[in-house]
Amino acid sequence: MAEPARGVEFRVCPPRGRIELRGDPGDGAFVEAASNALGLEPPPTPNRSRSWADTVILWLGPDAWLIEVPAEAEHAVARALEESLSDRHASIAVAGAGSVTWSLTGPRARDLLAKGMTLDLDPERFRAGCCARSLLAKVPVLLHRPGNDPLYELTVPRSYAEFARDWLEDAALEYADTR
Amino acid sequence: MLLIPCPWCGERDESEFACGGEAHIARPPDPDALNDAEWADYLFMRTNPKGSQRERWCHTHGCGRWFNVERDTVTHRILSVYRMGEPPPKDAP
Repeated sequence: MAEPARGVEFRVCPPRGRIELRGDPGDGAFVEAASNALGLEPPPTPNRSRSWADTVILWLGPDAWLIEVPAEAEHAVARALEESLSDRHASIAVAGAGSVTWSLTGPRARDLLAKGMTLDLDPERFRAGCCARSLLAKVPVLLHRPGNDPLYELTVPRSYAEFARDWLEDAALEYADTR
Repeated sequence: MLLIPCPWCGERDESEFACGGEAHIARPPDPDALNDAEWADYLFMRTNPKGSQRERWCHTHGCGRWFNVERDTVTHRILSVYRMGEPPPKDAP
């Protein structure tokens, strides 16, 4: 017999590299230089992510993206971006240590988030490949839906991490033994 | 609570936004040429209409962008939304 499934599982992801990139997506040379350095074009569509191999690029704003790479590659990728974009108007900021990411999965993961968020989490609307900055229990967060497992990745500024963890644990109590 | 259609992110809850007050107030090109009353008028005096008003809003906890909202101050109905630098829509329904 299978183990009774918990309604929602969440755990802290291992440290990852994060780089905040800003630049004008209307500038073809900027997009090309960034794409060359990353091997992936920053997604122009609002609230969408794009991934290939170890690299994930999340849309943060019309001229801002968050690039997620393995922790050990963070500085190398930032340097590659700096070199590639040296003659463009762009901003590259290494931000890996600034936040903590949880992975959330399970049949009640969406209910858990919905308790503290106003974002429309309808699976038809917040599909795989969607990401959004919003608020969870008044904490500014970045929510990403990479696919079906994990269902969600929740990135929280490190200074709010303890509060966010306490909130998640408390909010998840009622789902502890549900299928 | 308002549901505000961000020009980039679509409809989001008011709690993600910050309101920046009345829109389309141009800074006087030569502040030194103004007397105190004119400067105070620029700084403090707003039209405060009953009905349609154009406001600046920032999607602070979303995409971080400023944009314009035309809102009815009586009903809170949002009549139109347009980006910074875009001309306001003529007359919203």
